[in-house]
Amino acid sequence: MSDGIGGPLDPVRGRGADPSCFAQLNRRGFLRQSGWYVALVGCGLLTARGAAALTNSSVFSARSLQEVIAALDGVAASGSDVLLKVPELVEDGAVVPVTLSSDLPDVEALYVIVEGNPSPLAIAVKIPDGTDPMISVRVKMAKSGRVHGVVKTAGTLYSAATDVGVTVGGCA
Amino acid sequence: MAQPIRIRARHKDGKTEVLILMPHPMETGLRKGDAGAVVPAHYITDVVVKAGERVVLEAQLSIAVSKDPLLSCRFRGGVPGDRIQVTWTDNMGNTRTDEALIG
Repeated sequence: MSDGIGGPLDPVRGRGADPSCFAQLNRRGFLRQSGWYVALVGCGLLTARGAAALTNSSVFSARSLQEVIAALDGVAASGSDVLLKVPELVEDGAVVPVTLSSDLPDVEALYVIVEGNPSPLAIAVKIPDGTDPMISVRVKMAKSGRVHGVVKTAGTLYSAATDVGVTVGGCA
Repeated sequence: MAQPIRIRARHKDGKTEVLILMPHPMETGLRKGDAGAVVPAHYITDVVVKAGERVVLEAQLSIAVSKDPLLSCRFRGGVPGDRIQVTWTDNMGNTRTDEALIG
């Protein structure tokens, strides 16, 4: 089922033994992620206005794409120029392969967002000149839901989404 | 964490594709261990990929990225024999850098 290197490993009961890994919506866990927020601002991926909107760590409590996009200071728009490749059904939610790419010119950044995760924004990638606007990554999904790929070009966001069914979610 | 980053870089048709595997627990901080205590969050937060002196990718990762992150990217240029350097930093301040040559 899995390739041997996915999911948390419990030394006694083996991989995926804890079904509550992603289901625990513990506020303490959210606040602990604030270091990541600082890294985002420091790398210029958040505008000054976007950063002000996140002073309450709203990224970490955001449950929907709309909330995360509002924090990213942009408007998501569907477009055929955003290619999101992800399987529609996965057995193991601990390892979901996602490839996000775009044919749009002057892409600055790519984002992969997993609705239904405690931390919806899975990865943010900065694309320098000369690098193809493409990223492949493996993400965790707590449960079946929508995966969004968002592409930022010249300050505008474009997105595509796919509904992904997860048979065994998160890490169980 | 002590395990090296595995890097494979292949040049083809004017572009170089890089496949990166970074062994790392990527703990979310939301999981309870055997003793019932929450396992602290321990995950890669930043990744930088360079070809020589040129930065070809910068990424911020979250707890939603799978254990032992596997990233793939592609950039224009690169010559077989050039050096690809990958650096990750995690939320506990650990960091690791490894290199490979473009094949």
